[in-house]
Amino acid sequence: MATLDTVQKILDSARRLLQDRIVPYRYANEELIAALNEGVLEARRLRPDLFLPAYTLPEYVATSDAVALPDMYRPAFVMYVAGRIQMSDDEDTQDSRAAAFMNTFTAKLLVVTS
Amino acid sequence: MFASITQLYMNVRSECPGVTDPMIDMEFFNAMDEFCRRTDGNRYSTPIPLVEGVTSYIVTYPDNVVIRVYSITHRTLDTTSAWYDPDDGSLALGNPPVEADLAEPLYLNVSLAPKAGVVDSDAWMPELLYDRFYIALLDGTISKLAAQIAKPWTNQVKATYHGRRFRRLMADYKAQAEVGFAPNAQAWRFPQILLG
Repeated sequence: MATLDTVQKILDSARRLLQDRIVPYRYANEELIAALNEGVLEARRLRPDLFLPAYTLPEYVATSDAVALPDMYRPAFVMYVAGRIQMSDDEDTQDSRAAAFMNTFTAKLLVVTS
Repeated sequence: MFASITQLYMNVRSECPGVTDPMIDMEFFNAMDEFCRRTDGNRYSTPIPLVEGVTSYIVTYPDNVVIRVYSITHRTLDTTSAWYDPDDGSLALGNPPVEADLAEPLYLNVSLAPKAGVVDSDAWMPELLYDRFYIALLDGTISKLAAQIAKPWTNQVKATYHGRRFRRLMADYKAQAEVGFAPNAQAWRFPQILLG
């Protein structure tokens, strides 16, 4: 768990924040993976250096995919997935919580104290 | 990776929290490149075995860029009209070597900078020089990282502080390189015109 080195581990961590840990899940894996891929695009805008040296963006399709991101920044992507999903569900939405996750994602990428 | 480069990376990681190794690679290259171009500190003397009657040789530096050709010297062969073209690596001698010249190699003395795209930093400079220039390269790398925009390690004060140290050390090394890193060496040359 600690290293968040696969998509599955990032999704598991995000589900803990979303309190969505019991099967059948409220949010499908496909939705969470799509959110993770959006997070990659957002990270490319904020921190292009995370994709050095090749500058190629990883695109995840399965939970078994290895995460090709620097390990110290992987927790930020957990925040993005949780925030992005939190914003999407009309019944379960808590805007302030979603915003907190998204702000934490940005802060983790841009400042030391987050 | 040389021990001093490993040490430099360890220093940078703690001075610039959050920085990734590929980013250190990039700014380390930039600091190295600027250092070499400004100081001419990375001087290299290439021995070239001569072949009797042959006036053309190929000398290439695959891991480096030649910044400056200082001299082409030989103890017995007249090299005043010798010419080296760093672009294609061709060395042309004005006078063909004779048998008496073959006892010693010809020396091509150049100043080098790292070449972009060469990943192995050990190839850019001998380990001895990394040890010698350690503090300057550390200051240069940190100043360039701290000066970046919108990164966790962005710090204008550190960028200014380490940038000043980097420039001051480059000025020192430039002066030292001019006398071959021998502080008490003769800083002038006997006028060639008086030699007749």
